[in-house]
Amino acid sequence: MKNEIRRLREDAGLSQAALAEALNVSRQTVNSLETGRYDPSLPLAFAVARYFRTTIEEIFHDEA
Amino acid sequence: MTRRDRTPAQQRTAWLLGLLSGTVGLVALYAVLAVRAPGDTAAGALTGGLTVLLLACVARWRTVRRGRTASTVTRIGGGALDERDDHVLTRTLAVVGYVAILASGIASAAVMVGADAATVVRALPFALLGTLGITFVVVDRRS
Repeated sequence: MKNEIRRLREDAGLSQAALAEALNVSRQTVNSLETGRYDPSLPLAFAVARYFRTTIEEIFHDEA
Repeated sequence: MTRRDRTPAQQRTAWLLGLLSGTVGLVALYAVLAVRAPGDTAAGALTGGLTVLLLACVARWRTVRRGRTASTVTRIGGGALDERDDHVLTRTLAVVGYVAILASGIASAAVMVGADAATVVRALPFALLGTLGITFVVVDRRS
């Protein structure tokens, strides 16, 4: 699923490792999320949205 | 409760219980093989089993030391999975389970048509371990 995580992370001046630490996941998970290879669980999607102070719909784009 | 819902303390406890279970199982296996199996089978099983347990301890140490920068396989071996690690492990084990069902059916048929049963039984775990390794790499790279 396409998403804005990389753009939001870079705008915030964060490394993948720093974002991973904040979200309590691995750096590989952040990388997989950004490249669209892995879709997050609902709790993680909410955590990402909460961290960037936006909504899930603003971050994740349904390709259907 | 799924693996991803566990706190770090619960993950550590689960890992320790797994290590303890593995150790007890290995000792029991050694005791049985020492009495019933020929040659150095017991010693070989003990060596292999201790190697696996040692690797698990190394994985745990690396996970504690490196945290979220540890590799997927290290975090899984060290009992500190995040949700993507859980996803990779679950999908890998699902494929191995599916292949195990097929492989056991093929093995049974092979024995019925004349293949040596002992050879087939010895080959099955290696076939499944190979499946596990290949599937893990593929799923990890694609997730």
